[in-house]
Formats: sequence, structure tokens, C-alpha cells
Amino acid sequence: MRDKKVCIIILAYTVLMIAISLVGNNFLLDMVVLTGLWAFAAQAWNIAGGYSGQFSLGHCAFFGIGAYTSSILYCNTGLSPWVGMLIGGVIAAIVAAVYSGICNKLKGHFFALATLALGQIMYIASVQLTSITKGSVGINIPFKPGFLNMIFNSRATYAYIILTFVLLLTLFTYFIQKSKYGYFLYAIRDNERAAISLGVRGLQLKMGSFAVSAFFTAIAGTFYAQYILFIDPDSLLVLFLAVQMAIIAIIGGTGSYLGPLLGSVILIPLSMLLRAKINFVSGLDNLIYGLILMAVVLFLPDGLLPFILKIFKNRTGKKAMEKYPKGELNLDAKV
Amino acid sequence: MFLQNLVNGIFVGAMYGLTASGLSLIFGVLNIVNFAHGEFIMIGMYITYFAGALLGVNPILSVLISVPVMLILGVLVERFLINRIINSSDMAQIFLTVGLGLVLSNLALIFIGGNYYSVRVGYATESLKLGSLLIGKASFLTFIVTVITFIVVSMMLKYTFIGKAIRATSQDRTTAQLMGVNTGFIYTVAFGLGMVLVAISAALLTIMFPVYPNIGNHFVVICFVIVVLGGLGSLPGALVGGVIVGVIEILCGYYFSMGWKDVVPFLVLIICLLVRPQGIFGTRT
Repeated sequence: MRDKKVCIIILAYTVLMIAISLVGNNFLLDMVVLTGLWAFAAQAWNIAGGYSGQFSLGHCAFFGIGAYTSSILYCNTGLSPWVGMLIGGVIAAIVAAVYSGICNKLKGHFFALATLALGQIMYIASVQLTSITKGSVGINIPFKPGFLNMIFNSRATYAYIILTFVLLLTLFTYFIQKSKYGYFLYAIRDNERAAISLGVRGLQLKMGSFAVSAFFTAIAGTFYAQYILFIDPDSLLVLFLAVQMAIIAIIGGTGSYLGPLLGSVILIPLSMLLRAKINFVSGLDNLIYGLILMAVVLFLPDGLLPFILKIFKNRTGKKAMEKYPKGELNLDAKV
Repeated sequence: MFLQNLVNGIFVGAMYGLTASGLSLIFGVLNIVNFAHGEFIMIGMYITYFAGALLGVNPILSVLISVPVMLILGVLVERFLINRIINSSDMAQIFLTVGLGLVLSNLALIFIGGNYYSVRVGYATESLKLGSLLIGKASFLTFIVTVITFIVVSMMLKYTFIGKAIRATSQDRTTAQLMGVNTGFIYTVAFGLGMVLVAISAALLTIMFPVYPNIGNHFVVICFVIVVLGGLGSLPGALVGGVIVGVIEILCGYYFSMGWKDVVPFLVLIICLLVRPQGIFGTRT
């Protein structure tokens, strides 16, 4: 472990794990689990959306495939969700690779529209295939605690598991970003034709990154199903879910392994607190999501991460902030 | 029965086409897919509903209120939001309008609430008999209004100076600018005109559908399918695409199953994106 950043990530993980073992509050634990889950899902979205520039609005489809595959296998055949999770991931990856291959020529807005259609098709399919998915009624997963069943009495166990998932995915993304594949993906995102003309395998890498992204999104889906113990089309396969993954990654900062983590740490506790404390106004949390998203897109197109790093690390950034102390910093000057 | 379904499909489809035309116009000129389109439809429907409920205005006549309101809203949104990202990355363009949609639908949820409201008009359940065909009075009325709107807007785009400027900007913004067209102003006009079309179509939709904060999601995906099918930016394309989607939907609902008919527009969308991404009336750029 000569890599300093990896050491810091693992240290942060260890501190968090110890902190969780000291927390007894159920609301706080719930917050940790959901923050971890959404950090994981946004990190997975980021592999496609942030690195290779495939802005997907259909990732709810993969989330749904993961949740439904493991739950159906578990409820009908008793197969452990740990295995079901991998099967769901592989199915989602195959669907994603094929779909990304089909939509290879679509760019930007059109790719977003095509993925939106994929999510909607999955929604309708899950409502209509009542013999398999039980339709709109949803599937109740029986509560039988046990490690093999991936169901636990204590929320702390869920928190340990999801944080470990987040750690592994973050390290995975970090090493991808550092490897030549990271540079290939950035090249494709910034100028696909130029990248291909220089020998980058555009189609394979786009299909690959979309498949990897879908694989991890499906794993997040399984974890969600095992945590909530109830799945139905309206909670899994809606556009908002896909949008939420994207929002978290974009607000944190796309194209970096820390961006989705930051986005999730800011947004999920905020929305949970809003929902818990101001529960007489429904919709307030989503309103704030939308406002933050618009503000970030308009004023900090690279997300909050570069902005925060600039304030804390970069001396020129610090000076600029001192020069314009009362929010007069002209942030969109470079646009 | 086939003929009856066909006619129903055309009527529903023409209305879908009008709903999608604003989206198409905005894309054609500004090159931005407005993901908040559904939420603008929702606002238009609420205006029509409240005009009827509080002032007793007929849904069709409510456009006298909703058109100016939506026009002003459109101009403000374009000036203060869309204008700033017109040259930004795809990501900024997609997610600014996604964020705007979230804000609008949740504002409606907070201030108006999640209840379903619907307008009652006497003629909604009556129908005309034309030979063996039965035509709902409401759908006949919406069809007439749709056709008139399409003709007026097409004439405007074709013959007036501002219409010509809009078409020029949509074909080639740089050249239009070189020819002395104030493209910044045209963007605002086009967005405002798109909102006017949304206001008219929303007034018609209110006759047949209840309004609630998330109603936009129901229409917006159909609108996306229609504009991709007809060609993004093409007004006649929106009408033709709308009719095609309407007919396919009604026929599939009748011959296959009601539940699966909603999948068909998406399959059409995917096939269309693959085979002819520029749409029926679109031109390749």
C-alpha cells in the first residue's frame, strides 16, 4: 500500500466502521445505510455517466433487475441473495451491454431519451408480468434473519455491509480512473471521434463501462430489496430513481471517484432530515434536490468536489475567495 | 370496428401531436430537449382547471388566461435559465431541465397538494353519430382546435418575418446570425411560442384527463416518442408522429392487451432512433 490516497480511503472506512459500532440510534443508522446505498448507486451511475459520457436516465431498469432477480430467486427457490445478487448483476450487465451497443450512435440528449425508454419498458414489464413479479402488488420478502438470507436484525450489520461495498467500488473506480482505461473513457467522453481515430476502441469501451455500471447498479438493487424487504414497480422502476442516481453524482462531481460519495453524504442526510423534521410538507426534499441540481449545473458545472477542493487545497482558490468575500466570486466566468 | 379504432386513434393522436409540438419547436430552434416539458403541461392544466373552478371559465376559453401566463413563464425561464446553458455541455442542458421539472412538480405538490382534480363539461360523455362511427363530442372539439392551432402556427412560421427568422435560426444558427437575425431574441420567442402551444394543448387535455402534480410524466414520454418519430424540430412531423403513435396505441390496446399497449410507443422510439434517428420529417445535421 504505497498509494497515499488508497491509505486515506481505507483509513476513513475503518474510522466509519468503528463509529458505527458505537452508534445505537436507529435513525442515524438508517441514515448511514441509505447514504451508503445511494453513494454506491451513484458511484455505479458515474462509471457510465461520468467517465464515458453516457448520460443514462434509465438506470432504474438495472436497479430493478437486480432487486427482482435476487428476490424472485430467493422467494421461489430459496437461493441465497448473495448468489442472486451476482446473477442479477450479470443479467443487468448483459442487458446494458446489448442496449449500449444498439444505441452506440446516439449522443447526449438522444442517448438519454433512449435509456429513459428502457426504464419505462422495464416498468411496464414488471407491472404486466404478474405471474413472475406479482405486478403492482409487489413482492414481500419473508423476514428470516441470517447471514445466508442477507437479512439481519440490526441495522448496524447492513451499514457494515454497504460501507464495505462502497469501499470496494470506490477502490475499483479509483484504479480504473488511474489506469489507461480511465484515460480512454475520458477521451471518449470528451471527443469520441478523435479518440477512435487515435486507436481507442470506442464501442467496446462504451459497452463495457455501461455493463460494469449496470452490474453494480443491480447489486445496489439487491441490497435495497434485502434492506426494505418489499419491492414493487412504483418504488424501483420509476424515472425519479434513475434521476436521483444522476443527481447525486452530478452534484458531487462527475468523472471522479470521490464526487458521488460527496454528493450522497450531502444530499441523503439532508433529504432524510427534511422528511423527518418537516413532515407536514411533502415534496420539500425533492424540491430542494431540484434547486440544488439547477444551481450546481448553472454555477458549478463540474460539481461541488472541485469547488471544495479548490477552497481547501489550492492557494489561488483561497486567495480568490478572500478577494471576493461575500459571494461575489464570479463562478461562471470561465463558461 | 377497425375504422372506429382508426378514427379514435387519429383523434387521440392529433391531441398528442399538439402536446408534443411545443417540445419539438423548442428543440428545433434551441437544440435543447426540454425535460421539464411535462411539468409545463401540468402548469397549463392547473391554470385551466382553476380558471374553470374559480371563475367558471370554459376549458377552451381558458386559453385566454393560460396563453399569456405561460408565455410570460416561458420567456422568464428562457431568459434566466435556458439562455445560460445554451452553449454548455449536453450534461448541463439535460440536467438543468430535469432539475427544473423536479422543482415545478414539487412546488405544485407543496402548494396545491396531491389530489386529482378534473373539469366537468357537459359534452364530455356525449357523442356524435356519423354513419356507423361514434365520435365523442369532446374529442371532436379538441381535434378541431388542434387542427386550427396547427394551421395558424404553420402559417405564422411560413409567412411572417419572425416566423422566417425562427425557421432560419433552426436551420443554421450561425448563418442566421450572420444575416442579421438576433438569435438570442429568437430563442426567447421560440421558447415563448412553445409555451403557448403547451398552454393550448394543456387546456384540451384537461377536458379528458384529471390533473395532479405528476401528470406531466404521463405525457412527457409520449411527447418524446412523437418528436423523435416525427423529427425533432419539425411541426408537421409532430402532428404526423402524434397520429402514428395514437393509432398504434389504440389498435394495440384493442387487438393485444390494454396493459402492454404502453410499451409500444417505446419500442417505436427505440426502433426509430436506430433506423432513422432524424425522424420522418427531420433532416440529418
